[in-house]
Amino acid sequence: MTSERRAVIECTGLLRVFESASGRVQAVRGVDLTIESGRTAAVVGPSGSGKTSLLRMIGGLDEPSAGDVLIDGVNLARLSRSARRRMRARLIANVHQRPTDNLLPHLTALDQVVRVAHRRSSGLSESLRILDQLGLGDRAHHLPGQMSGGEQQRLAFARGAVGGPAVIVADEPTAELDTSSTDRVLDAIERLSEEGITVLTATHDPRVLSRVDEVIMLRDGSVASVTDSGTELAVIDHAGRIQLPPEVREHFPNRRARISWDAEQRIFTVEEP
Amino acid sequence: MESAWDGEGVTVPSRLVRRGAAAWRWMLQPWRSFGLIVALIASFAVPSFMAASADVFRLAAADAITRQAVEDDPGGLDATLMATGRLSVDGVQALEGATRAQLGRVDRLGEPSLTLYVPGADLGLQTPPEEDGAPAETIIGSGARFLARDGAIAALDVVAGDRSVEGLWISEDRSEQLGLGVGDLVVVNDRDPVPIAGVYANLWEGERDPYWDDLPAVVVPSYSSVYGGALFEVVVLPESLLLSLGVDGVARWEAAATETVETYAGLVEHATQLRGIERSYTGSDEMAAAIAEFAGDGGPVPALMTDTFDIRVDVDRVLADLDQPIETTAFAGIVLGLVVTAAGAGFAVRRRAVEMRLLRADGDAWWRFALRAIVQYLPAAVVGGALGVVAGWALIALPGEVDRSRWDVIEFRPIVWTLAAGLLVAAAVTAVAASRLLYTRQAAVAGLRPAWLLPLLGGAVAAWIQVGSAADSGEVDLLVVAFPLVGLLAGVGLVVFAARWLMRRVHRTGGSLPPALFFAWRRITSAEAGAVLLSAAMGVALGLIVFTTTLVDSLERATDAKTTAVVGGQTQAQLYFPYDGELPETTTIVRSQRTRLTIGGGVVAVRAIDLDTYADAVTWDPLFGGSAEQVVEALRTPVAADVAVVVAGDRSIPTGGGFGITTVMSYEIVGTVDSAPLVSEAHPTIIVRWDQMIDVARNRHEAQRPPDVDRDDWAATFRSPFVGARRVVVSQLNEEALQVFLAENDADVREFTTVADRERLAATRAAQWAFGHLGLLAAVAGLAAIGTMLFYLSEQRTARRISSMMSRRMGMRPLADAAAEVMELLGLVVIAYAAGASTAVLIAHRVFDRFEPDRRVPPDVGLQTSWPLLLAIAALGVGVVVIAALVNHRIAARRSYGEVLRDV
Repeated sequence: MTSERRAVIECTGLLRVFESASGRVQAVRGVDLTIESGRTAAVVGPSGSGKTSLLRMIGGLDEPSAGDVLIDGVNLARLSRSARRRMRARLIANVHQRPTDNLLPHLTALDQVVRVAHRRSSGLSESLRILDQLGLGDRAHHLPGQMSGGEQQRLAFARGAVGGPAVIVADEPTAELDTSSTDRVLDAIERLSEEGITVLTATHDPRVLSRVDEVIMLRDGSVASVTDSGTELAVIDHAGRIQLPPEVREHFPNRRARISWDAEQRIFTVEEP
Repeated sequence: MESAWDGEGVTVPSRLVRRGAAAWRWMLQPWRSFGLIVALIASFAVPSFMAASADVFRLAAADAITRQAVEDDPGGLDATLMATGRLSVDGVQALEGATRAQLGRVDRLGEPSLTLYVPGADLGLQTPPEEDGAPAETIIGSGARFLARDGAIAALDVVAGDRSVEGLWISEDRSEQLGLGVGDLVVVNDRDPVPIAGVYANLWEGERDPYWDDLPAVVVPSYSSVYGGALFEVVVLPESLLLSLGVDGVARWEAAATETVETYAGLVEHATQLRGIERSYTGSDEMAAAIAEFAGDGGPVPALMTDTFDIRVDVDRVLADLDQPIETTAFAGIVLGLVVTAAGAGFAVRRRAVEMRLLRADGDAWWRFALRAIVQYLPAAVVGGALGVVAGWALIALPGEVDRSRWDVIEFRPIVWTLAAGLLVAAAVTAVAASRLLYTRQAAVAGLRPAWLLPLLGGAVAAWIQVGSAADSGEVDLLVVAFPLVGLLAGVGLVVFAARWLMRRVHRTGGSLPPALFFAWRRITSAEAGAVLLSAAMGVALGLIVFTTTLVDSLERATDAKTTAVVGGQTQAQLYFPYDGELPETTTIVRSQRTRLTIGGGVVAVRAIDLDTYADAVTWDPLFGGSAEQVVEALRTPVAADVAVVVAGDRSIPTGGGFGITTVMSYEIVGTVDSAPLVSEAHPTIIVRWDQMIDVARNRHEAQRPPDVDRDDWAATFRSPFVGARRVVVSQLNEEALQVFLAENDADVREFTTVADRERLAATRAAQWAFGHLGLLAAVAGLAAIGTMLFYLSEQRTARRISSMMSRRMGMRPLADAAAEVMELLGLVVIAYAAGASTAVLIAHRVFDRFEPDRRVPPDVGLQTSWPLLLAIAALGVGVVVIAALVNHRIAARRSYGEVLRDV
């Protein structure tokens, strides 16, 4: 477990625009985000809020239209595709929603992990250790088809965690799991974070939210708020904007507000005009 | 990180075992999915089929053309060895032994028969020496011909004489002419006198022994009136007597073929064995010694006479002409096959997208995907390759086109290269497609649009092979090469950009397209790699079909027209003597003659016709232009000149000139046609009325009558302008009916030619036959592409059902949804068809001249692009696509039992 915290994920003004027949769609707009090493974070928000797009950019699977995304100090937005691929191989692990999407059907659990371990200059013993740590030691020689969904998803985290990556990006990893399996996966996530791995997930699952360090609320492609250790905080983006929740916005039908700043007491007030 | 694992409780097999087991499971992966493995095997089988079938087809073409050429030349495989030297017992015996040995080495030749022949000797009539010292003989001529051959004397019809007497046999005519009879002595080349042993009935009158029909004409006694040539007639005598005379002459060994050749290899073998006889003149001591004995040191070597070499040259020429189109088609077929392979690989990526996406997310490089594809698809490639070879062989060999044991004709090296290329294509597609799995769908599709260029690129390469490699690069047809790349690219690009512009404009103006059109367009522009590649494959296949059917159609039409031009009607015959008798219905006589024009002095072919019978008797091909009736009508036009003429074919006849046969006649051109029955292939042809020419000539003759000569006496001296003309009977009757009728009317008519005879000529049929066969292969390829498309559609039905459901939720009616699906597929195929068909027609246009039969015979037929044919092929393609789309739509609309339960 690392004692010194450092920023592993740093997003600044992250923007993703998709072209469509009906025009351009901004899936992610101006996201600023920092997550330190060994932390677990969950991105939440309604469907279409940009969770998956954000995770794909942080996971190195997609490139931003604008802005920067730094993983362990390396700006993915400035990398070529092949360099980004090498980053994925070395420092980033992506875990998908469906357990079967995360595993190669012809490899045993051990081989799944060993295969990734070799890419990260690790080996057999490390693979066996991580399997054992995530409760899969006795399933090392089983094929994915012989394992339950929960076991498969834990195996997916095992192959992601082997060799010490900086980040595991998981898109709704518990969506297809039952309660007990979810708990075991969350236990696994906690254990990995204790080892200094940053885990970022997108989720709708309240059980996940209750066990992560940070909850990032996305709305319309922007970060609406960040809840850190139970405290909900509004986010001021790099341009100084704050996004108000809908229930607050409805008090301002004219879209006008009086703003005051008490520098002494460091209080920022938004009032009806 | 510290290890929390103590290593207990888990037994880990060795790395080799683990990797081996994993590799085995991995290799088996494609084989666990029936659909996937079938697609992969089929995708490798198609290019292999194309490569193998080209080899078998080339052999089939060679064999078929050989059979036809041999059939066209009865006796063409026979061989005659003709040696010139002193006809002595020793010389002939020595050469006889050596020659029989050499001829015996030619498998297909029977036992040779020896003919001794003296082409010219002095013949004298023996008379007793006179007391005043006059010579004892009177030379009666030189150039007497002698024939000694087994069975010759026995085959004579004896008028007088005894076959057991050793002496000369002369014809009845010569006996009477020279006053020679049995027992008279004659002297040959100053040797001892020999007696006349007998007189035989003239061989040219009445029935004669069939023995004489099998002999070369030169040695058969025949009627001769030229130069009063009594001594030019053949005198028959026994071999022993001829050899005892010791005169110079010719020894001929004639060996007939006992079996025909059925294959090109057989022809080559026969020709090679015959060439071995010639090589033996210097290579065999026995033969060399025999030649020296017979012809003397330094004497001429025997001449080998056979049509075999000419047949081989003809066949080789036809094959050389066919080689390039076969190669081109095979290449295009392989390109098509590789496109199918690419589609198969694209399909495999799609079926295994989860695995590929995971590997890509793990950071696997593109080359790892490529390597995996090569290794994993290798067994499928081997199986597919073998199936393709068997299918290619079976398609042509099983119907009996070629010797079924000739597996060796298939060149496996190109097939292995093709499969290797297929694996590389599959690897490349896998690498590219797998790399794009992480991108958005729109970006992935946009990146694959260049796949549309594949048929264009293939067409350009095929065009280059077709046009460029025939000769030096200076003859490369730039239009053919550039058209597929520049023209079609521009055309397709124009359509795409126009449609895009339309879509944007509709958006901006807030208007809307009909839903079916909108969805079709969306589907076309977002078509995935497999659909794009398959439509490209269909485009190539349709292009091949258009190429071959257009060529075959044009070749058939050209053959019909030119055959009609040469034969004139259904049957043609030559009249040997003037005939004024009755003609059967639909029969006419055309006087055919050559003369010179007064302007320019060029040779012109005159075809003098009988206006009353001409139109009904001749066959008038539409490609001739005009009609027989129009020609007849034009010739009836009153003209100021002596005769009216219609010019056929070559239009280089000057106006206002004249031509002369027995007298110069002025002419006026009253019509032109592109060709006509009996048109000359060497000279410009004019059609005239023979009665008009006769009248003009008669009037001219009458005008020249001296005043003191009686009109009738003068008329009797008139010579028809057609006195030296060839009289050609042209009829719509068949050969037998015409022959019977004319024989009954005592017309001396010979050399019957029918349309069927002419069309059977190997050179005429070869190109048609070959392209027809290639068309069959193209059709097979097209079916393969369609089959793959249907398979692909059925594999996609889940995705299509979802797409369909979304469309319905967006308010689209079921009919419009089906229409969208039809339009989607049609959109792909129509562009591919336009590209393939237009390229094919252009290439066919440029190469047609090379294969046009009887090129010198008018009409000068270019490629006849048959629009109905093109439309029919397009309609067929559209029909298949529409049916496929509708069936697929219907199948995709069906819900599974599970889905129904979920809804409940």
